[in-house]
Amino acid sequence: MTTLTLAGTAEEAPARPITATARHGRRYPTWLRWLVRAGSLATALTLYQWVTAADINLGVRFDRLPTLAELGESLGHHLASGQYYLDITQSLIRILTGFALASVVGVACGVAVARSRVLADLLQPLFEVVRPIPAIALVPVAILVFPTNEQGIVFITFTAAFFPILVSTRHAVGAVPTVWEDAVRTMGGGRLRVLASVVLPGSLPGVFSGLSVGMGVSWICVISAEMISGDFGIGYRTWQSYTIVDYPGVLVGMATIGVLGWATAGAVELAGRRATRWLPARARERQR
Amino acid sequence: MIALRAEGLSLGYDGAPVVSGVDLAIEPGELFAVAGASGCGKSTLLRAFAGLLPPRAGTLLAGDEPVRGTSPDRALVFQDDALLPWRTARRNVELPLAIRGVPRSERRARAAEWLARVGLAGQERRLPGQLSGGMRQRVQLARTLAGAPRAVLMDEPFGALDAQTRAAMQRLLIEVRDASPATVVFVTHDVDEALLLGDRVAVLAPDGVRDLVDVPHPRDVDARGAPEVAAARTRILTALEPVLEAEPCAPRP
Repeated sequence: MTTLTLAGTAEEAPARPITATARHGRRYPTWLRWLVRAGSLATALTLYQWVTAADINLGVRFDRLPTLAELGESLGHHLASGQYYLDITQSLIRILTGFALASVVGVACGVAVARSRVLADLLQPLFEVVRPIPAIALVPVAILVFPTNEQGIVFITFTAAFFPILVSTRHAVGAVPTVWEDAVRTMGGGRLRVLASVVLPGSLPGVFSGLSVGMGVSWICVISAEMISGDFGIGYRTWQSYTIVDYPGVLVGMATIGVLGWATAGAVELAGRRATRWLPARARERQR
Repeated sequence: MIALRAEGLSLGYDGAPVVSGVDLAIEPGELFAVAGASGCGKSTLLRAFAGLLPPRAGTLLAGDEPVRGTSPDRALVFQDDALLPWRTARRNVELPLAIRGVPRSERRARAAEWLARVGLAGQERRLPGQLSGGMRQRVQLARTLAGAPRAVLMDEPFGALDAQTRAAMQRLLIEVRDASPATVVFVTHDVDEALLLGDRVAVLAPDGVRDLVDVPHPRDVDARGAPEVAAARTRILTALEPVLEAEPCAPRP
């Protein structure tokens, strides 16, 4: 900080975030962290291989589950078939459509309810009544009212993600410090300016925690909905495998759902980190 | 520059008024200091001038117009943390220009110019979280003045800074105000700060302005030891005293 030229100023150094060393104990290198993560997964797989190959029966009948070798073989078949990719694509289209709609509508409704007393009185009772209904309980209604299966599944996915996003947004908007809004208003900013320059960016950290939760719930619901009423999709295929006694297929389906869920959750997390780089906690992470 | 006037002004949130019976006439271009114990309505008065708080009674005028809401003509400077933390220093300073509809390229040049004027050239791309408290207040000062307000309302703007930084900021305020004149209302609980910066000092109490003192040699550091300044200081302290002892001030809402 030597660029300051004011005479006689003993200018203070910029506030530095507390270092990782002080807060998180000893740091260890990134490659080692990845090694530990990979090791964790590998250990779980080894354990699985052992209980299935040794036909362990401890009340829970592991001997009925396919071994890793059988799973590998089944995965090979899946990877070689076009059907597998079609199913994955179908499920992804459904979840991403539902989730995208829920993000837009959820954030809009959350902001509206948090910022306007009239809209809060109008909408809040509706939301509170509908919220406790599990999205998957809407399957009968979805089948009744939507002309195609596809729309029904997207609707269920939407509903599942909508409420966590709505509630998080509402709280996040309420928690934005009023001093930012006051500052922008005394610069002459109107309602829209406050919304765009203060409320939306200021509530992003909370909004993203809602998006993370929403994405998780969306997967639960899209898979369940596919199992009940789908004719494509990874959830439908997994259930189908069970009905035709193809147990390796069931497990490959489950693993696929796991990996897809992980990837989408990771994408939301990454987007969230990028959008909230300004948070003090993020600054600390970058130093690590 | 704009005149600010309060007549029989009563202010408050829900419940009892925080301050009432305020009569003030602030001249255009004046640097008007408001002193008073905490909780005596200094900040409340400033919020009312800014248009963030409608009066409960009395009139409040900016120029000849009654204050009816916020306006880019009356900018408020806060004690701390008023910068938008996701915007860089430069983008914070650009904000009032964007609100005024200044085109993007010109905004950028003017923001850089203002940051240089407050001694922050080269820090444009830093986020507020990467700046010290003193530097953040410089950015806030630049942001406020970039909008070319006719009145600047400062709410203990240097209250959270250490003594040295505070002295530097006081000098900076005097410097930049000479370059871009505006009416300044400066709220402080520090009598010496009020005496150094103000043309006049009003001592505020919950029942109105207790005393109004003309400052001899305003903004003249060398005159600080002069007997007439010492007399003004004693007068302000005397006016403050009964507030502190007999009449405890209401806590902030």
